[in-house]
Amino acid sequence: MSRHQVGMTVNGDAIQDEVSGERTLLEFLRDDLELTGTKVNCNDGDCGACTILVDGQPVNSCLLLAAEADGCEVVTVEGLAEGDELHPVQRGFIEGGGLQCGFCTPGVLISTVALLRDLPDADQEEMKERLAGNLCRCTGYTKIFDSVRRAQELAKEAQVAP
Amino acid sequence: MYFKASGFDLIRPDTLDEAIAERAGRDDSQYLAGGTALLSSRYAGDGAFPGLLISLGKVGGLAGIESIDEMVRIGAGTPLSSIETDQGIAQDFPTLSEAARASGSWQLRVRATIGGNIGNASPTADLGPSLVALDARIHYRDVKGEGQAELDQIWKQPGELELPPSSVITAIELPRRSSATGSAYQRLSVRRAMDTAMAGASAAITLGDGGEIEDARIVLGGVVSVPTRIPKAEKALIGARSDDENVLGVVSEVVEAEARGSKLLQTKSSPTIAGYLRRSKGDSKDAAGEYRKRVVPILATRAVETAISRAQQSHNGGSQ
Repeated sequence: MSRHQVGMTVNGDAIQDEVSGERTLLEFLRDDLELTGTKVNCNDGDCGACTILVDGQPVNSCLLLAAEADGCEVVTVEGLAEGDELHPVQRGFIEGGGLQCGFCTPGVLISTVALLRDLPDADQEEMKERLAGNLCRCTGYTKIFDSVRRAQELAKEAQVAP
Repeated sequence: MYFKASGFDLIRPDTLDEAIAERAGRDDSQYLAGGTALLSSRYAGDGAFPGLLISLGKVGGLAGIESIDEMVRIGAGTPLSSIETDQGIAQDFPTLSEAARASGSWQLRVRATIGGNIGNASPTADLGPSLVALDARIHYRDVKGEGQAELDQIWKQPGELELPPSSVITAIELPRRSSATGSAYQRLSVRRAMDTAMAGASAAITLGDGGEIEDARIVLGGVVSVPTRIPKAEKALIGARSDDENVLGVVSEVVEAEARGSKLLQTKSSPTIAGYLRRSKGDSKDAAGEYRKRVVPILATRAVETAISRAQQSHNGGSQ
C-alpha cells in the first residue's frame, strides 16, 4: 500500500504525518488525531455528518482521501469556538434548540458557518439549498432553520460589536 | 477503516504527462478528480474498484472558467459549485447553471468536477443533457497528445465515453451563440434536494432577427442510457415564430412519440422511485421506465418554454 507524507493545519495546529493512500480524511481526523467531533455515518456522501471545512469549503470528509488534503487548512467542529467563547453559529443552535440527539450537529454547524460566511443575508431557500446535504432524523428541520436564523443575527451582532 | 474496502494504491503526480503515463501503464487504474463518485463506489463490493488511483489533485491549471472569443472554456477540474455560481455561465448558459445546482449537495458540488462528471458518463448525470444541448466540445489528452471531440459524438454508452484509453479530459468548450439565445433545464426527482433525477430535459433556443426560431436543441436525460437529442422536435421548432402558442404542443407530441418508441434505460435511475412505484402500483420492474416515458414530454415542453422566454428577453435586449 502506498504511503504519503501529509502536512496540513487542523484547527490552527500544524500537523505532519504519514498516511496510507486509502485513508480518508475522516478516518485520519477521528482515529489518528482523535478529533471525534466529526461523525462517521453513511461513508457515502449522503448524510453530511462528516462535513468539515477544507480551505474554507464544506466537504464530506468521508469522500476525501487524507493524502489529498496535503497542504490544506482543515477546520472541524472542535475548531469553531475560540477558547471558551462559542462561535455565533454554536450559540445560535443552543438558543434556537436546533438539535436533539446531536449526531448530525457537527456537520450542520460546519455547513452553517460556510453558508453564513458566503451568504450573510441568506433567505430560507438559500439556507435549505446549502443545508440539503446534512440529514437530521430528529428535528424535522424547523428548529434547525430557526437556529440558523438566530445564528445569522448573532453573526451580524458579532460583526458590529467593538 | 470504517467499512471494508477494496485495497487500492494512490499516486499523486505533479504533471498531466506523468499521470497519463501511469494510467497507460496499468489497466486497473483510474484518474481521481473530486472523488465524490469514484470514492462513493468503493464499498459497492462488486470487485470493480480500480487497484490504482491517479490523483489529479497536484496537477495545476485544470480549474477555471474563461471567455475566449466566441467560446467559454471550462477547465475539467472546475468544481460544480463554481459553475453554478458563475455569473457569465448564468447569463449565457442558464441550463448549465441549473443542471449544476441540481446535482447532489453543496458539499458534493464543492468537490465534484465537471470533467469527472462527464468522464463517468452516468445515464442520470444532470449535466449531460445541458452540455449536449449547448454543443459542448471536449478537450482531452492521452499518450499521443491533445485531442478534441463533440461530446454528443463520444457519449454512446453509459459509464464510459469513447475516448482513447489513457485520456484525461482537460477542458470543456461551449460556443457562445448570438445574443438572442436562451436555454433551460428541467428535471424530476422524488425529493427536490439531494436526489438523482428520474428524468431531465434541456433545451437551447436561438432566435433570428425577426423573432423566429433559428436553431433548437432538445436533449433528454435519464430516459435512455445517454443524453439523447430529439431531432424531430428540434426540426418542428425551427422556422416557427417564438410567440406561436402551438409550438409547445408540437414539442410535447413529438417527444411523447419518440419516448414511447425508445428503448428505455434498463438500469433504474433511482432505486427509490423504482421501488416506490413497484410497491404502490404492483407494476412490473419497468414501472419506473414507463413513468419516465410519461414525464419527459412535460419536462421537455417546460424546458423549451423557459428557453424561448429567455431567448425573447435577450432578443429584446433585456438581461435574463
